[in-house]
Amino acid sequence: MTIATAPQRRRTRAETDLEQAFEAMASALPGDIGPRAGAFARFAAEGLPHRRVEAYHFTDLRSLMVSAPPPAPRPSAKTRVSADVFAAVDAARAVFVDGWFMADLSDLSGLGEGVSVTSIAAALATGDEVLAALGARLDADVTAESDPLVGLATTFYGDGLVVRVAPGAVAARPLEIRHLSSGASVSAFVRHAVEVGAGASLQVIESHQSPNDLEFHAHTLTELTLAEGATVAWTDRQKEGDQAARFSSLALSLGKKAVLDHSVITLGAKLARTQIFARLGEACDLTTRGATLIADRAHADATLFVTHVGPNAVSRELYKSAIDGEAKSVFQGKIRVEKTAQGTDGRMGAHAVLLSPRAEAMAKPELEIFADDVACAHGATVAEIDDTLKFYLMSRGIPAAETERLLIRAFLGEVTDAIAHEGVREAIEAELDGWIDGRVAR
Amino acid sequence: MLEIKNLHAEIEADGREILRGLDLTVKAGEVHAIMGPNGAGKSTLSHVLAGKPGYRVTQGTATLDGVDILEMDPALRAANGLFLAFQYPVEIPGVGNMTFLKAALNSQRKARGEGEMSTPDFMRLVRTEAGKLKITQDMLKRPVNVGFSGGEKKRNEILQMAILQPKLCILDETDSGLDIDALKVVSEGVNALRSPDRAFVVITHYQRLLDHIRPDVVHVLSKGRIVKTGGPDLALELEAKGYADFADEAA
Repeated sequence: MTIATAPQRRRTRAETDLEQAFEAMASALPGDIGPRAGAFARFAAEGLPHRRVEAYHFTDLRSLMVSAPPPAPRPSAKTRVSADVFAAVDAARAVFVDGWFMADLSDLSGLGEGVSVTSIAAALATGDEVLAALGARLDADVTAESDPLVGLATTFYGDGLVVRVAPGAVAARPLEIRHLSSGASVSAFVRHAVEVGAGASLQVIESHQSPNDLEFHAHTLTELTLAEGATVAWTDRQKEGDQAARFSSLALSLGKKAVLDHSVITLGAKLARTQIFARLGEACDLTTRGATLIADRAHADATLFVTHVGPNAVSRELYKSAIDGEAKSVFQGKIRVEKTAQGTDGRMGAHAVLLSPRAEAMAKPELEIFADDVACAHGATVAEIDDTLKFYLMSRGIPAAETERLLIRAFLGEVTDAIAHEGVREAIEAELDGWIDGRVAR
Repeated sequence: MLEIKNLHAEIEADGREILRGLDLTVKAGEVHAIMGPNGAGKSTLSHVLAGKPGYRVTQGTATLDGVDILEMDPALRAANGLFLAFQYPVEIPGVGNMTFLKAALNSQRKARGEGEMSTPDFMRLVRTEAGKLKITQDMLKRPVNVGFSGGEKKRNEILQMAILQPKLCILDETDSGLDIDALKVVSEGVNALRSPDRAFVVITHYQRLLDHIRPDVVHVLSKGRIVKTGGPDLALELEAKGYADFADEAA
């Protein structure tokens, strides 16, 4: 008997790397292997996404992700820790190296009553009930669940944090989650689950950093749930090295009247993709803003899927990028308004400024509306630095380089000015200045 | 102070010649008015002197206190004492007016080898000058010219002039878009800056502005050249007779 089989597509090197890693590790991966194997099977069936996959049309991972370094083992405790960009901010700190929580480098004190932070690796070892927090947001969102990068993080994660804020509790200081590299060429896989109870509030500052000249792949999958009336401010800043890849997925669920203010600042990585899968309940308020500054041959993608499920919710998405060299930025944003989401107020904007003749920007904002009483808008612009503005500033004696700095900062100001925490905002503004000043040196 | 000799300039994009052998000498302490019909090259002259991109100088020279300015970028011309008050001041979203003023002043001081002005001194200077021009705190806090009325924009130009203390001020159609009250405030601001070591070139289509800013010399610009020079009476004559004579003469 002959069984007809579909012709096997030739695997890319990165796909082969990942398959071999999974085969080698499968028996050793902690916790229930079922969900991991399921996630990997889904990934393996399609392989890395490519340009014919709509969500990855502009970010073809089959060609951009050439290889996949092996999943990171837990690093030795003697890792050198680079300077903290948010050192001046009074915060509790959870430090990860190559995706592993380092208790001795962390200080989780002072978050106050009602805030618990648990390492997932520790919970996996004991089968702790906090693990129940993992997967809930993904199960509710087929777009997120079927995403290949989400699949990889779900397959390989070894550690992460489960953060719970009890109903009504207010975190006494921000929680900084620092993701660092040991200097090894590895793939780090981290999963976080953050649950903020009814009426509770939390501030999270996330930072990602790795050295230049290192093939380091950083995968992060974060599930964030805000219960009714919860308030969260979240700033995510990444400055991965010039040969690094960063894949960041955020699955969000906002309950009734919950408020999330989210910013993502992208300053590094050769290849970066930030994706947000948001499901919005009744009368909640989601703001997410992005500032991307990339140069050389970097490729940075921000892809948002915002689904309004409950009525009368507000969503605001504003993503801006300044692109130099031969770099390329991609913005894809889809606001979907379900039939149940009457009274939705959604507005999305993507704006890019090209700082060199070979810089590129792609923008694809989309609306998909099934309710009839909504106010939704989107807009996208791509421009160069305006010569008229530049001449005006120069005619007052401001030199060309300083003029560009002022104009780039002004362009990104809508994103950075809105970061409410002064210390966080100032640290980020200083980094933007550094990047802009660095243009002169390039 | 300003010495322009046989200046020829064309539009870079299409090679159209706008200035065709312009000569002009302005001495320190003087106010010169340049009048002329639409299309004579009045705004082009101000743009070429300030270094706006899009023009090509094909012949001639322009020096400020003996220094050739045509090779300098606009910022360096400003640091050397040239100031252009724009006909249409530009709105710059995201750049605060105070940030802008401070960057401008300190950039110029730095270029001239002077130290930066301290923040308290700067604040005092701005408050004093803004008060004279009836510029409110709110206008100072807003982004440069954003949401300003036509009159507010022109007053903001004069504020910059007062703070930067240039040697040579070129006013490009400063009266356009101004009602009579705004015109008075702006003119008073300009007159307050008149001094023996500063010169003004006032470009205007109408005589009206010259009732408020009294010129020492009036020039008629037509088809890219100065075709007539006279005293303040020349402006009145033009107002009465129009530019028809000069258009014909040059044609």
